Amino acid sequence: MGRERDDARSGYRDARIRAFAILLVLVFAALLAAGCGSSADDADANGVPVLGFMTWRDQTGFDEEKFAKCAKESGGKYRIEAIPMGPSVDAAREQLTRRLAAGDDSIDMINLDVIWTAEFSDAGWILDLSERMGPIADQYVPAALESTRYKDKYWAVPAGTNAALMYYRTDLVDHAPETYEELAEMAKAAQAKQPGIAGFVFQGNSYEGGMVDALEFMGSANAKVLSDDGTKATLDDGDGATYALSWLQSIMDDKVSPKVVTTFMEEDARLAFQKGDAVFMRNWPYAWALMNQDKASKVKGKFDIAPLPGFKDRSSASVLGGQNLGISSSTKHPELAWEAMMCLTGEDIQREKAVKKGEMPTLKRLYSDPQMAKDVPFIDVLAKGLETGVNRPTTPYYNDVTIVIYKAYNDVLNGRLTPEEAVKEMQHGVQAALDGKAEI
Amino acid sequence: MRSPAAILDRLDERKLGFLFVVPALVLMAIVAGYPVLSAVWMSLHRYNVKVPDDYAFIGLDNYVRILASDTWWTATFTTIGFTVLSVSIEFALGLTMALVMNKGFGSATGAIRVAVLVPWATITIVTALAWKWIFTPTFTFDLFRSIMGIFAEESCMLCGKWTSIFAMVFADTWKTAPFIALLLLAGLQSIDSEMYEAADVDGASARTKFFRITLPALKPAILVAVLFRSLDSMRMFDLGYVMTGGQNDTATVSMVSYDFLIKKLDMGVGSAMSVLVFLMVLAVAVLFVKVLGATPEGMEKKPSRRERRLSGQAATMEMAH
Repeated sequence: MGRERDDARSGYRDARIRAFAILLVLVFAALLAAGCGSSADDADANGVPVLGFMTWRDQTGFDEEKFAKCAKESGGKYRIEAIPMGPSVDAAREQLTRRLAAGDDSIDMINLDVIWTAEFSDAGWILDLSERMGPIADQYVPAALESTRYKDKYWAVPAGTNAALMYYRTDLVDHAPETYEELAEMAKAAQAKQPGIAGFVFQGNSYEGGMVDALEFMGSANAKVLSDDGTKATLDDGDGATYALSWLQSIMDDKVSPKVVTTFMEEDARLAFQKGDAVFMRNWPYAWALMNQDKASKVKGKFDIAPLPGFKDRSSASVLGGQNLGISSSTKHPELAWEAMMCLTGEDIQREKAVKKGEMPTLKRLYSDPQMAKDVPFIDVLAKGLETGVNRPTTPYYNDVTIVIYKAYNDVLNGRLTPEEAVKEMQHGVQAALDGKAEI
Repeated sequence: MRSPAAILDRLDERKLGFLFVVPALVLMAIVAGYPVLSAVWMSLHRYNVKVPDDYAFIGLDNYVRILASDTWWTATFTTIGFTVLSVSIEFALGLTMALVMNKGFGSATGAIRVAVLVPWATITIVTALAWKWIFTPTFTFDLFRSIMGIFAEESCMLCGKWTSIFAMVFADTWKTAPFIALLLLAGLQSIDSEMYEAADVDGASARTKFFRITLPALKPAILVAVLFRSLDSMRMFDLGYVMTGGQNDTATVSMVSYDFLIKKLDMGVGSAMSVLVFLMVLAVAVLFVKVLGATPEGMEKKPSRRERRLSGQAATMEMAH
């Protein structure tokens, strides 16, 4: 009797195992079928073309709202679907290059960081937009427009721009420094009054943000990384690079900047400044709103901003950040993509973006707009920064160049290289990268 | 006509067994064999995704360039230094934890064993970020800042090569010592208590029991644990990527390969580096397996224990009847 029950039970179990095995096979088959990438459909269920937009993940809902708005204004000609990338510039680029190199046709539009123009156009991943951009080019801020150009062609539409600012504590110093030399003196005086506080914080880590700071310091001393045709490394022309790096070495030696600044990225600097731990900070405009709103901020109403200083009797350089919109070469809808891009970079959206996201407009007319001056109190300071704004070196080997420079820059701050050695290393490394023989 | 079933029937067991393993072998060839071979093939070429037209077979040139570079050797020594430091500290700590846990804590035993595993189950990127901040003097606790002041100028642990590596070893130990502890605990619990009883009868000291019974019997478990951890450490990437980003020459071999493969898109050099990392890891694995094979004492005990258990089971079954 017991046996019969056992048999019945094992039969039941066999059936279950078989069902499970079939399920497993189906799942596996489905995975195989889907394995070639979750590509966005070319058109949705109603036959409306879907434009895949590779862009930064936006959790505020701002972007989604604008995508819907543009689609509606087009009369339902297209729909925009975000393909999120990120979170950092480096990570986003890695993700993009993999998909673009594989000719992924689900991507129609790309939110390009200003430093990608040369690399992506040279690799043939984005379309030449010269014919379309030509007639409207003079509406844009020159420095922002310049970042969309490579080899005398336009490859993108300027969507947003940014210049760094000098933040200073109004309760510790009475004015913004005109020069970096003055900054160091003012910082020392403030540090003498309040021991333990850092004089100047910035981005000293070896990463893309450090590259920007390095270019600002060296550019402010009249050093240039590349010749105009982009084939020669020119950092050792003149004493600019050595001068800037020596100044950096001196502020580290004098403890104007703490050693820990060599590990700082943007957010580290902001958090240190916001805790009240620093007199001066170099950072992007985004920090302004955060430090005035953040509940934990101890510097609310105690700081102000100014354009970046320069070196005495030399110049001042502010390296531009920002986004441009480009069209992927493998798109099936170049016309629609252009239309959508014009909508997304239109005046209304740029205005709203400046207020809500701290991303500054690329349209010239918005900088003399009275409403903008009211909504974004620091827009005039920023406009000055944009005037001295320079772009990062334009070369398809940008990524090799940047690694060489930010490593040497970080090594000077850490005391591992003297300024002279660092300049030699940068010059040598950059030239090798330009020749396509980047050193290992 | 013979039915397929009849053909299967005619095969001897060995061949039949092989037939059953074939699908698994094919799958392994696809997911493991192909990428390895393709990396080897790519490492023999000049190939940068950014310049797709400049593609050529260059033999061992990439390897020659890598092995002649300072960057590579610095990374290799950093990796080895990190591995030796972290694995030995983790082993010592893990063994201690296992010995303590083996004593048992009454009703709390289960809870403690689970709690100990929490660091190991947390995602490395998350813990690395937390440790990075703890080791940053601006954001850390006052006490920790003072302690760090003993080791590093201005308490900045992540500002120098060896202090950075020490910080990484610290974070790695916190995370993986519990893993070693659990592996060793399993080993400890399978040691026959009769051996300790016999030693007690002979009047052996605790020290003798530890070195003559515990350690030898634990050897297989130790080797497996240390092998796993060594291989993991040699391939370490995420912890360093987050905590130092490779500054101050703290890049490991995996981080350097990543720079070339992913950042510079240099598939040739990047693949060659991956192959070298693969060979390094393989060498360590082979070394360990040889060592494992060279210790028959550890291996012999297993079957005898199993036999004893089987005979024990047989005895209980007989009694039940």
